[in-house]
Amino acid sequence: MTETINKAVHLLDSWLNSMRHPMGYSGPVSHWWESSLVFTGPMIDWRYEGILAGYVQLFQTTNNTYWLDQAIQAGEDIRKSQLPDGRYWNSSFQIGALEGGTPHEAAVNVGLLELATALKDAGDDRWETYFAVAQRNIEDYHFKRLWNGTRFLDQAWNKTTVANKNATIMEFLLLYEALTGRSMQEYFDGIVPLIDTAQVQDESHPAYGGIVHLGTHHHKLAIGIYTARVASALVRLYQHHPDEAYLKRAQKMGAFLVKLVSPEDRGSYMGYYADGTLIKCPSWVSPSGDILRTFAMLKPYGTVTDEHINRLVQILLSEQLSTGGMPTAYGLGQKGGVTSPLKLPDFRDILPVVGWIDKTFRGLAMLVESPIDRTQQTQAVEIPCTWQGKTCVYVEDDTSMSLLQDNRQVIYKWQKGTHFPEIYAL
Amino acid sequence: MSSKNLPFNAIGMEVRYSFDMACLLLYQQRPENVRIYCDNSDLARAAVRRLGWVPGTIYVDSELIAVPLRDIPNVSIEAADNATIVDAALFLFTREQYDAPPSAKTVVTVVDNRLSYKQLLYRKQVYDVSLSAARWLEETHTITRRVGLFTPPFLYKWTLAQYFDKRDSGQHFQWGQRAMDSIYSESPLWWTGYLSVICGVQRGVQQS
Repeated sequence: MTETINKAVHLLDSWLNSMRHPMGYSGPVSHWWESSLVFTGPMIDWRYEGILAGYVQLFQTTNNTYWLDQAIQAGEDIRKSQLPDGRYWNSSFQIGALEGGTPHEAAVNVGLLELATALKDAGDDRWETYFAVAQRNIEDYHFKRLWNGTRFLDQAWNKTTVANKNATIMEFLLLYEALTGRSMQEYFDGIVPLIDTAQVQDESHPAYGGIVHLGTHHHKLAIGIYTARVASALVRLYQHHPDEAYLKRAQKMGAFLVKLVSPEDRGSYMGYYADGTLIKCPSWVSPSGDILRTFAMLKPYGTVTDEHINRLVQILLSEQLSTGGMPTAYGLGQKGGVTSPLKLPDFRDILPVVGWIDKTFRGLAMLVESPIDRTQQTQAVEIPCTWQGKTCVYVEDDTSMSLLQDNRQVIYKWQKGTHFPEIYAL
Repeated sequence: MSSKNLPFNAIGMEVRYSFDMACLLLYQQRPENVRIYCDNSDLARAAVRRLGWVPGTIYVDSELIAVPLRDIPNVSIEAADNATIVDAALFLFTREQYDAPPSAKTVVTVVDNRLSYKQLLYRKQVYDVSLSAARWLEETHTITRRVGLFTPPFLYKWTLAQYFDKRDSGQHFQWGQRAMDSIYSESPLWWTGYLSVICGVQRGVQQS
């Protein structure tokens, strides 16, 4: 397994390199809420969380400076893209070109502070550079504009408070607290009750332990990948501020997540509707890297076992494409469906997305135990899929991603590292 | 800031999807520089977010518009004057204020459309007509692409999504996605959309 994971991580790194633009990582985005298939330029969103944390982890595990150089490159993307008001340029992932993305800017701060912490621990003065970038965002955006006195808002103009977004903020607060020595307890005291409010507490409900995305209002969707992000943040909180109540909440979330992992449907299910119906479409593939991280963090405390971890790792490894990338999901074309995804994926399913693959990259990087052989070459791929009910072929190599209709007519072609597709006829 | 009172803001769905398409059509012509015709700094900023690939200068209507845009990394912003000559022009809900298209190789215009359902809802906040904009551009340019947004097929699906909102979550999300999948229309009825994006290339100039 170790060699297989190492190889997968190396191929993910190669794929991430293929997605670079001089200003950062680029590419189309597919997501539950909406997709950004037209604007494909570099964005400073949560992709930098997994990229930075993954590269830092690999450097710390292997002591190979290649991985640190990769992390520094990502840190420089962010530094160069910071606006005078502290926010990051084009940070809104599926929403497209827009600053102020949540929890994206928080996740960027997590990545930056992981890098700063590693550099500081290694006695490298460059830590101050990346710390200062994150600090400006934390103080000027999160504290001044999003904090309402009890929790962090979805946006300064949107009073909704979302538990999973607050949990991502909690992750950077823990790193910030460790680096500055300043207590962040005031913020934790606001965020933890919000998480309680969002967690399904009814033991008879199929979504028991899961986190409801409060932004889904009356639909009350309990979403797996977001629950994972909350659980990881709570485990981290517990590690810094040992309170059994934090861990117990996270363990309940872990049990909820275990139920969502589906080898048959090649990923982890979306979650549950308010009435307890399981949402099978989409079954997330690369985003499940966040669940893998949660499992790895929960394992020392029970609830999650090696068997659970291995089952998810097997799914992720088996889904990796020869390009090094990974599909996003199965069933995005039947969004919200309660039956298994169709066998032939939608274009948005098969589309590898930097801001999802970073999560698998980070999750697998946590499992790397030895230096990585980086000689394996990636290969082009052709995968049958559908678009609007028509059979198509997805074609990808190191330089482009394309969608061809049955007659080989190109209806989408994106040259990697550019702001827009060359051909858009979807 | 704006001379218009549009029924949406610069980060709303209307702007995001129409500006994405407009900047895609500009990008495909690879202009060296671009002039944005817009008197609203928020809308101009929304366009510049999508123009990071422009190698030369992005010109805007005035210094008042230019100043707040100068914090944007990796782009050069200048105020245009009457002598400014550009490769490409981008009109953001301002087309009807100009008698004729400018002498730019590429012109892309984002327009709202009185011949759409929005006229019923916002009678005094819909200013242009898609077909008029197309005729205006055709005077000097060859139209290469016309894209309607929020056309009747989109509205039909969106309405169903709203109908199911409190009745059936699964149907709500599925119809919502079907609507979004048809947000862009290049069918013969493109001009019935609430918004449209029209691209023209100056006659005699080879298309990219």
